[in-house]
Amino acid sequence: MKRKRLLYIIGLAALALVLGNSLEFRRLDEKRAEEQTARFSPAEYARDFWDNRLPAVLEHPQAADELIRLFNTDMKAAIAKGRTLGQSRVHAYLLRGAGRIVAVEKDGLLVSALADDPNPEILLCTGAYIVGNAVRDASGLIDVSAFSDTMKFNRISAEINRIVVQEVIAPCLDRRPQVGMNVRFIGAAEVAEDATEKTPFGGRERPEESNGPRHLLKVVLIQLEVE
Amino acid sequence: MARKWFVRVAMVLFVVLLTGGCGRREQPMQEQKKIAVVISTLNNPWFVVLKDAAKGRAEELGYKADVFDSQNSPATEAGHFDTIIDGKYAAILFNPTDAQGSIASVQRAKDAGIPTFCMDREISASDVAVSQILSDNFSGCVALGEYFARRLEEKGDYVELLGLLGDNNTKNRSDGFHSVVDNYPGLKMLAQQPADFDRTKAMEVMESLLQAHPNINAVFCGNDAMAMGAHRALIAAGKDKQVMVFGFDGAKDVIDEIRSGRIVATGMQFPKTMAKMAAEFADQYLKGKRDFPQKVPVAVELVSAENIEKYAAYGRNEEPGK
Repeated sequence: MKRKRLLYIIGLAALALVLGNSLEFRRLDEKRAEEQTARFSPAEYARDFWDNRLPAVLEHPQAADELIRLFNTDMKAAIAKGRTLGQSRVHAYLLRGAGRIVAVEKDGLLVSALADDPNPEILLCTGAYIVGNAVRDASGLIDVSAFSDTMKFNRISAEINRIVVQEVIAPCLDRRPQVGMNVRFIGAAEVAEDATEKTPFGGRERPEESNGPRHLLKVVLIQLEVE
Repeated sequence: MARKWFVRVAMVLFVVLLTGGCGRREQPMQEQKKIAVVISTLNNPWFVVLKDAAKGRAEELGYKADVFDSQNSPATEAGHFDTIIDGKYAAILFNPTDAQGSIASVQRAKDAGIPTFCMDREISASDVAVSQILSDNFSGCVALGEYFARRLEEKGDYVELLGLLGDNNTKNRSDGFHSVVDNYPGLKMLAQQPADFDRTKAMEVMESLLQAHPNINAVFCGNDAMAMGAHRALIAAGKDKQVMVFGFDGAKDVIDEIRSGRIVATGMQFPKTMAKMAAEFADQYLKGKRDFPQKVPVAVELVSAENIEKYAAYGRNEEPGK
C-alpha cells in the first residue's frame, strides 16, 4: 500500500516536472501588447479608422472656400487653422465644400468654389492612386508616438489612400462627372507654405502661359456627391 | 612655561588650519554635467553636421559634450554605451546604427538612469528613449517619387541604391518612393541593391549595375553620399548626361551639383534642427521636465533646380543658426 502511494507521488512529481518545463508564466498585459505588435495590420487599422473613428471628426470640417480666401489674404491665419505633424511647413486640413466642375482631367476634377471667380481653385483628386498623408494627418486622430516604428504609421496612410481610391473615387467615376455638374464634398488637403507664398489659390503659377498649371488646393476625397 | 604652552597651542592651530585649508582645496568643485553624443558614423559629412550641431548646442547649454563614433557597428556602439554608463553621463544624444539592435543599449542606459534622445534615426520601440526626433523620410520620398515620375515623364528604366538594410530610414525612404513610382507602369526598376549609405561602395555598385543595365534613365539613391558615388560612376562611364540622379539628405556637394544641373533633386533633411532640439530636450529633462512627445517627425523638403535658391547645404537659407 505504502509502495503504491510512493509510486503515485513519484508519478505526480514527474508529471509536474514535465508540465512545469513546458509552461511559461508571463504577465497578461505584456503578452497582449506583444501579440498586438506582432499582428499589426495596417489594413485592419485603416478600416477601423475609416469606419469607426473618422465619422466623428467629419461633423465639423472647415469650409473650403473660406480657407482658400484666408490663404489668399492672410497666410499665417490660414496656417494656424491647420494641423502640423511634428516640425513641418506642410499643414493639413479637413474640409467641406461645394462648387461647379470646370474641367475633368486625368488627375481629378477642377472645381470652382468661389462664387465671384469662375476659375478653378480646387482639384478633387480622382486619379488612379492617392499618395501622401492628408486624411491621416488632417483627422488628428492618429498619433505617431503610439507606434513603435514609423513604418507602421506610414503604412496606415497607404491603406487609407487605398480605401479612398476603391470606395470614394471609383464610385464617383462610375457616375461619369461632367463639366458643369455641381459637387459637394468632404475631404482632406495638405498645403505647403512655400507653394502658397508663390501664388494664391486659383492663380496661375506662370501667368504668361495661358494654359500653364494653376495653383490648386488638392483635396483627397472622403465623401462626394455629384449633382 | 606659559610661553612654551602658547607656542604648542599655536603650532597645533597652525597645523589644523593648514590641513583644513588643504581639505578645502581638495574638495571637488561642482562637476560640470556631461552629455554623450553618439553618432552612427562620422565617415559621412551629413553626420558630422549632426554631431557638430548636437555638441555645439549642448555646450551652449552649459554641458561638457563628448563625441562617440560608432563606425556603423552596433558592437562598437554597445561598447560606447558601457563607457557612457560607467562614466556617469547625464544624458545621451543618440544617432543609432540599427533600429532593432540599438534598443538594448538604450534600455541599459535607461536602467542606469541615463535618458536617451534619438536624432534622425529611430529605434523600433516607443518606451525606451525619452524622445526621438526623426526625419519624416517616408513623406520626403513621396515628394521625391512624384518629382521623379514627372521628370521621367512617367516612363523609363531605373535602378535604386539602398542604404543600410537594418535601418528604418532605408525602408521608409524606399517605401515612400515606391508608394508613388510603382503606380506608373512605364517606370521599371531593373535593379535594387544596398550600398550602405557609403559613397565608395555606391560607386562600385553603380559601376557593376551599369555593366548589367547600360541603358538606364535614372538612379534613385537613399542618401546623398550614394548619389555622389553613383554620379562619379556615371561620369567615369560617360553616362552622366543620360542618367538622372536623385539623392536624399541635402548634403553640400549634392546641393552644389543641383545648382550646376548635374544632379536632379534631393530631399532636404534638417540635421541642425534635429540635433539642437535633441540637446534642448535633454537640457529640459535634466531640469525636471518629463512630458516629451515620443516621436517628433521633422519634415523633409524636395530640393531641385526649381527651388534651389531657398536652400543651402543641410538646411534652408533662412534657417536660424545656419
